[in-house]
Amino acid sequence: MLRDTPGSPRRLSYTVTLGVAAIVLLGMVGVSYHEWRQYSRANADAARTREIHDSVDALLFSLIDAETGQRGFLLTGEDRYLEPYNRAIQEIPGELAHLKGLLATRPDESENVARLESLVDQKLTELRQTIDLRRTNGVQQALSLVLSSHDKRVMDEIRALGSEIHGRESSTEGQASAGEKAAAGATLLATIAGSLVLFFLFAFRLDPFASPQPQAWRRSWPLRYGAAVLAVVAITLLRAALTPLIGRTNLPFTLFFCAVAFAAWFGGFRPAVLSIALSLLAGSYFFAEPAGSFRVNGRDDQVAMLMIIVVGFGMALLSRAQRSAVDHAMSAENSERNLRQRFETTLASIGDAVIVTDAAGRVTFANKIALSLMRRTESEIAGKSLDEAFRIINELTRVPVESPAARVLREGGIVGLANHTVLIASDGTEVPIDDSAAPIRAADGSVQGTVMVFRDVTARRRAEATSRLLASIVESSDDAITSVDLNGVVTSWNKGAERTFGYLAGEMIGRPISSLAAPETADDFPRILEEIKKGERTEYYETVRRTKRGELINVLVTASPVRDATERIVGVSRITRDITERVRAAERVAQLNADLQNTVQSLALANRDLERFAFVASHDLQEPLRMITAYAQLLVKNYPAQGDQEATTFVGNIVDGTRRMRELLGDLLAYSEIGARLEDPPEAVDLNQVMESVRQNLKASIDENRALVISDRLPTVRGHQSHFIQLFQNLIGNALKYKGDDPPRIQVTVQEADSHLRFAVSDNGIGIAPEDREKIFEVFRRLHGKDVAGTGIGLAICQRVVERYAGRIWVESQVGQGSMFVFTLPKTLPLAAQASQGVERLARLRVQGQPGQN
Amino acid sequence: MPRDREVPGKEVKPVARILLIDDNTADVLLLEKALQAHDISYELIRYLDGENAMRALAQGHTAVPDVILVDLNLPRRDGFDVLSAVRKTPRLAGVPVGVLTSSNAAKDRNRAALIGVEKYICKPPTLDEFINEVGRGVQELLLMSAPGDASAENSRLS
Repeated sequence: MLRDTPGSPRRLSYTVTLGVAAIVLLGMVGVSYHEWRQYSRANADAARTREIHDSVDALLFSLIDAETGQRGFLLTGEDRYLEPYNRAIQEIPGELAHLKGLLATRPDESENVARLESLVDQKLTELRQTIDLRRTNGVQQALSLVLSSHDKRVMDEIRALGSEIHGRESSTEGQASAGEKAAAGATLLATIAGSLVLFFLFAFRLDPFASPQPQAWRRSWPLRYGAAVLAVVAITLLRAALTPLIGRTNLPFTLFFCAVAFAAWFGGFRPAVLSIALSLLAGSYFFAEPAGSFRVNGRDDQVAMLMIIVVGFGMALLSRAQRSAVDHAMSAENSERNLRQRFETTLASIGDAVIVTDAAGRVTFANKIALSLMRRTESEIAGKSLDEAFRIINELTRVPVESPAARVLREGGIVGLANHTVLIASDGTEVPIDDSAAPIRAADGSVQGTVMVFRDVTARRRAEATSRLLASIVESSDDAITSVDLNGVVTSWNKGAERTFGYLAGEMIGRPISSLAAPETADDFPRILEEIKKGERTEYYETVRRTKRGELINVLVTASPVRDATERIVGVSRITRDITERVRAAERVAQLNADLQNTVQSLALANRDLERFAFVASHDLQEPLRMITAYAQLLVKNYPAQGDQEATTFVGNIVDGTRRMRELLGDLLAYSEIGARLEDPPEAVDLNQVMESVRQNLKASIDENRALVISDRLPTVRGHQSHFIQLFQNLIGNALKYKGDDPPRIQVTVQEADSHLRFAVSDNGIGIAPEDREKIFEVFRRLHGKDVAGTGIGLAICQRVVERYAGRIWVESQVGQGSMFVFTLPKTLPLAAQASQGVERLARLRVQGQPGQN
Repeated sequence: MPRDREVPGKEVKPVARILLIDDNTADVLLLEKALQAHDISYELIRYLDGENAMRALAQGHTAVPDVILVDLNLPRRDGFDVLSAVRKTPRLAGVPVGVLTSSNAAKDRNRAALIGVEKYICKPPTLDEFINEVGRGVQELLLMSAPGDASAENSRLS
């Protein structure tokens, strides 16, 4: 907008100026040519008039010569006086013819010419007659003829005629002079007029010759010196051309001032000096008296030479001064223009949006980015008020915000960035921007406008959001996330690092990270750093670090290179996880595992011992018992005579005791085998079948007691049938055993719960006192005396079976109101299977270990 | 310790050659009581432990018995080892084998059945039961042994 464009007034004025100048020049040339033509014509007329004058005069002189010669002869009679007469007689016809030729172009003179011719003829005839009379008739007759009025009249008439021609030609000559004068006047006028016009143009800075570029002043030296030489040559030619006007040798130097002036203007100082020298040479040689030599005789001309030297140098110096001034001005102007251009280019090509306003807040400039952000074209907003073109609102409150430029105009200072500003483009698009504005001040400090800079911060907002997110992730991480530069100096330190190491960020940033190295372990930071420098990652490297409090912590370190934008490695980022707890837990777990292993081993040993005990109980202990029984009986049988009745009773007691002992051993064996005897894998066991087997086994007792045994439809479970037979048989057997007064009524029910089956065997027996409910499950615990059969292992076996299948057994009972034995079994029995597998393994161990045992 | 080969008045009965492997002398006495109670005339060849018995069987030092009785609880090599060795000895093929033990454990019964024992005799605790059951068991085993075979063996030996 600030640049000249074609058709602008300035360019137009320049063109008009050039046109006017050209027209003036052409006019001057035209007038000059016209005047020159007139002048030359007048000049030719004057020359002919002078020739006619001379010719008439020559004729008259010749006639007078002839008459003088005639008079001398007449008086003396000597022929030598006739010599002028003879010579005149010879010349007169030629002169007359010449005059006739000259006057031939003038018809008004033809009469005079004819008369002059006849008069000359008459005169010449008279002269010849008188000379002849003198020769023939003597002096007197001749003189008388001469003295006759006729002779004198002819001569007078000739003279009068000559005067007449003279006069007429003189008037012609006067006319020619007047023409000359008029021509000179016209030339002067034209020149003055042209000069005035040019002066006018220059005065109003409409300088058609002013170069717009300072470089134009720097014309090449051949051009400048050549122009000086040409100027001198041109002036020389001009001076030569003007010779008819001002004479051969008048004013030999004056015109050369023009050449010097031109050279000074066009070429500068040195060409001007050259032109002075050339002018002096040309003027003195061609135009100064004496011509054709370099000598100058005339005092005026010498003064003129001095003048041209002095004034020429003056002009050259002035020209130089003026040129330097102009140079200065031009360069100043150019630098200003360059500056402005640079500013405009800078503003236009700047990466941010720029809007310039005038003091009234109207837009005077907006660069491309500003226009694209506002979705407007330059012409749309040029001259518009900023509030109209640049609509911004607060991002959060959505209230229109005063533009920073307006604030600048109001407050006069620089207005910085405002947060959360959104620019609303012409199409409604919203663009988050950062804006700022500053006043444009003139030299005197007055505000001339504002420049507002803003930028689209969408990408930056996004990047900031991402960065905030990442930062918050880093900050919230429990792991210590730190970074160091290549010298091992800490550059970042997150909250996790503060928690892990106890050092605050402010304490660590700028310090070497190696202060975290534990004294026990080698400082491994340099090694990691070297690996990182090679571009390698260190992953899950486990080491020990020392915290601020001097505690040693186990950490897991992952270190990776930090690269800058050019992919150069500039540091190390570390994620350090405090695994002290984990390591300690692992140690504890290992310890527990070891303990468990020991326990399991000792348990296995104990189990083996138990199995061994059971084996011993079943075999080895029974063996001597059997011997005792058999031989006691043999003793009685073989020696009945020697034994009395008392001995028989004693033997009976021994046999009873051993039988009792065998029962106990048998039960104990059965009890121990529940945990062990499992060579077959668990299988599906239909509990209804189990119940049927139990009914069969207990048939005698059921029938005897007239008991009623009823059962729900029971599920199928996984396990070993013998276990479940023992379980149900013991429970039902117990119910039969501890019956009340009424016939026993025994009910087996099952309920399904979330994860298990709940079985209940309830009876209407004597019930169990609350304090006994735990005891009854102990091995060989009997609540009743010998009146009730059994060793007291039945419920212990039941408990062992249920627990073996990961169930639970308890009793719900009131004395006199019957008992209800409840047990649970998991719906799925893989637990039981696993448990049994574990015990099976032990069982196999026992079997294999058996042969070595005595 | 063979005792009277013949019970008086019952001379027609052939002598049963019984190979007994049992370390318990008291039980041997009870066995003899049971055999006598059942009128079985017998020739008892006894080994005190499994190892000696197995070696003897393998080397053929003994005559082929009519019945083999093995106690399970033996020193050095247990009864099952002896049973296995017997079953692997060709010259003992067809000789009925009885287990004579105080163990009533199902495990032992199963194991014995797997080896192919003809009779599992659990030693009962009381004297009368012992005499009855063990005697009857040996009788049944003797019946399994071919009578002709037994006499042939006997003649060979004599």
